[in-house]
Amino acid sequence: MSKQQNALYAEAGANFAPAIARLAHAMERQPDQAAELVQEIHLELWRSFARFEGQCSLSTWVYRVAHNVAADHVGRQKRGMKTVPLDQFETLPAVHDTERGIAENHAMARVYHLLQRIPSIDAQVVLLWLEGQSGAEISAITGLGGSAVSVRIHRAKAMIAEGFHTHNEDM
Amino acid sequence: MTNPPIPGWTAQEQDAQFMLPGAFASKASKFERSIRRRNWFEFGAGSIVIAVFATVAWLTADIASTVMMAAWIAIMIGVFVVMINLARFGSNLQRLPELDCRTHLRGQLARQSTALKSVWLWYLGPLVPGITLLHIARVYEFSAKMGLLDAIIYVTPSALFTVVIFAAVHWLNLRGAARLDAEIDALDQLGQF
Repeated sequence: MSKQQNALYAEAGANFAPAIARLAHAMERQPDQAAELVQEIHLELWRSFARFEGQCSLSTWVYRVAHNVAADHVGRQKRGMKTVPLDQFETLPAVHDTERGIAENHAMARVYHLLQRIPSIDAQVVLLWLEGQSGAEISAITGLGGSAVSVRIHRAKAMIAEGFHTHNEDM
Repeated sequence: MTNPPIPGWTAQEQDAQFMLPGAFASKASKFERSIRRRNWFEFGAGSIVIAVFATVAWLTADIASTVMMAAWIAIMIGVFVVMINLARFGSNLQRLPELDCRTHLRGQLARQSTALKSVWLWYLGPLVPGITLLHIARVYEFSAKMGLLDAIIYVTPSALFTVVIFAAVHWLNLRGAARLDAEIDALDQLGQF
């Protein structure tokens, strides 16, 4: 355990703890499993900082580790279910668990539902966009080409904006 | 970094904090726990198979032919080799989650594809000598009662059935590998444009 490793971990905690919690709760909807995923990401981040030598920005490093650990965590269950690519959605999918939908704000619940149904690589782009990452940053984190990222952001933006617009009109 | 598009999204979990690093010293990740659990499961299943064959060999030691005893031993060795191969595949995973997400996922898919394509070598192959000896032993034992030709005709259906099962396992794994290769190709394209 080096001082630098702990310092990087503390810096990551100060800047990214809420984003990592949001990622975990978006990828894993069971609260106890989400809490476990959060801990798993913290552990892997701390371990990974022993290998950090400034290969990329701290932000890119943290998001890469967090998203890869989250994708591994849900990978098995996602492999078992049939995911639908993002470009095949016209609108945000409806939430069948109405109790959860009401509790979470209906439009937000539909975003969560979308993230559950699309392949991990698509969900990663949408989540990073929701966190305010730029296209170039998303490319660096996910390894997708600029056009592939743009297409997904465009699609997510249209759907989510429409979903929130409809929700506000309904209220 | 740009302004978050949905402020309601980033307003969530604002109180979240990282765990203290002291808690990590003795903690195994879920990933490590699942590999350990899988290794134990495979070790347990393999041990049961070996124990069953060892019991059969022991119970039939007086009446079984030398070829049949050799078949039991070869099957036990084959299962043991498969257990070692399974543990080897599970243990040499190097986890580098700091790679970009596409490369990380691609590496996993490529590794799984390679394992599936070589199933004939590391999973089926070690069992072939024992199974082959078993059928030879059956021909040898039946030939004493009914003659060599009739014994071969008698044993052929079960031998063919075994060949079909092995071929089916190999084919299903190749089909799985082809599906993974298609996913890898799609990922490669995503990285290019």
